[in-house]
Amino acid sequence: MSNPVYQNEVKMSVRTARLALLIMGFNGILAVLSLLSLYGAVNRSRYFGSVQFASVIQTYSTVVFIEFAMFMLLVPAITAGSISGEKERKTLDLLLTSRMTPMSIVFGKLKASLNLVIILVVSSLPVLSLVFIFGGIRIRDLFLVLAALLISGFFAGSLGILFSTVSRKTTTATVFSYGSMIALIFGSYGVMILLQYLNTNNIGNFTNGIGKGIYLLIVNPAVSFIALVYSQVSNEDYIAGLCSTYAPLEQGFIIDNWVLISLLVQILVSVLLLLLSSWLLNPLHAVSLPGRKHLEEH
Amino acid sequence: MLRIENLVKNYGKFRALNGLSMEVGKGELFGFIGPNGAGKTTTIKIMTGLLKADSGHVYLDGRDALKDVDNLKQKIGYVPDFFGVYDNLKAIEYMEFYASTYGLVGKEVRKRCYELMELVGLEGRDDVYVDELSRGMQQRLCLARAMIHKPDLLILDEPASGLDPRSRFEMKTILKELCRKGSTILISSHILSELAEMCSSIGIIKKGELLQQGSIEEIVSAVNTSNPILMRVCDDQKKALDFLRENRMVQALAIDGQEFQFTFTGSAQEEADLLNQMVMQGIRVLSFARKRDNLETIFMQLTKEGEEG
Repeated sequence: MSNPVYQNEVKMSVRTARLALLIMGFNGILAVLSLLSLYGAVNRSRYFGSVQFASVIQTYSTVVFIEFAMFMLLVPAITAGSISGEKERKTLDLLLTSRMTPMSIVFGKLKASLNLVIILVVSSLPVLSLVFIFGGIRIRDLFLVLAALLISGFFAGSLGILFSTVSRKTTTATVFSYGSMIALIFGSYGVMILLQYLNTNNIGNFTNGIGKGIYLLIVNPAVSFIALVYSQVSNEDYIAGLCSTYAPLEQGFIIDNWVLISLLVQILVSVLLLLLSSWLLNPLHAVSLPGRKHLEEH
Repeated sequence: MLRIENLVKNYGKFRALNGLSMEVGKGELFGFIGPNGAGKTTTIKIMTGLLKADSGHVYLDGRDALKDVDNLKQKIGYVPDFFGVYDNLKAIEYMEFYASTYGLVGKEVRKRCYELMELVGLEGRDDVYVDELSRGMQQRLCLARAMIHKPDLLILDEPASGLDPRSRFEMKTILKELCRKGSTILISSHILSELAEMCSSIGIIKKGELLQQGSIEEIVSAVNTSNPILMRVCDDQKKALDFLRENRMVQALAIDGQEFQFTFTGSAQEEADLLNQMVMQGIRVLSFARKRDNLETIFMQLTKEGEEG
């Protein structure tokens, strides 16, 4: 049987202009930036007298990076309101007193959010397909990028749902979701740069750069995404480049299969985050959450 | 139907429920009253599976409900004090959505949704968006929702809060009708006069403990024992006055025309004997009764007593 929370979310979301505006805004930004990038490539071809494939490929990478960035901005904002929104509407207690388990509530919410992610991914295909005017990218590459986008969306969504579960207000959940995404994407780089700084200034004993610290980036969705796109548009190995700068001696299976492993780790962490959310949402677990105001006597 | 035994719940150092025990019989309309912070909502949240008790038991039809939360959820219909609505959901969709959360779908369920909406006086409103309904209508819709899975026990937390007098009257009428049809209802409310009118029994709670439980008549009788006796005689007030003055258990005697008021320190048996002796003495007694208090006075008296103690 279909999840009632999911069905209800879908029913309500299609009745507002929000979904249409979101799709229009998302693809509008993507289209404008793609066309600008393409316009630059065409201009350069006029200047050089021949089509510069590098410029066309750059258009592709620019567009998918923008799409990734917008995903990382949109998905936490969408999912951060999923459970906390029910608390604000005072409808969560009604769901929790029904036969629905906390896990089915969490998964219903996630499914509804992922629905939106899939709609955005699919609707952006025509814009991404601009690159096929000139060629250079295989359809397989495009689908790999879309799969990575979906997985990163799932990861960001799970993080948003966790914070939505523990927060009473959607605003708080959104702030924490963004904060954690920023910490994951930029913070992990920051730690690496700090370690590198200590290394270059001979503070501590860093014979292998940051050594195993490089694996901190495995949970960084941006690193795996950049690595994937770089492998499609150039001969440059982004992970090898990172290693040579920060951890010259690191090599092996994980480094060689970084993108695949990172995506698997993201899926695994997402599942754990969702299980944790379900556990925390269960009112019979003796954890006092900020979202639960116990002393509300009348 | 419902039996609560030694329920204890602490919030840090604050003890919200201190061994609460009470019983609600099948088909009863039970009024659950107490001052702010007495533990009503905590009790209701434990009964609905929204809060874990530190110790104690909640038995539903003899089964320990806290050990089988799934069974508890199936047997209880809950109407919270604050009614939350989803935007962009029509009344019938709202009903069907909550039916689906109990695994109920299909044409039969839709029929039941319409029947319940009719029962709460919302027939013809199925196509109206929930947020466009008045507060009273929303509360009645919430009541219909709580009955969607045919629960054995309906728990209503302050259902009349924020309602206008007409909506309160309508809600009261519906609850009485439900009770007449055999539903068991536990209702927590501050509007004591309304509870007194519709409840078959009440429980008064304070500081997490039950102070009194029973039918309103029983509680009134139990609490009224210290109230003065009001007596009217047909004639010969002097004879009656002399007789009463001779009785050592009669105190604070006052007369206003034919009406006597006095406190009596004896037992109920001795009180009956007093009346009997007066009749035997030829005093023609028109009326003889303890001064009656209403639920509000009793509630104030009981909850004040604790504070003084």
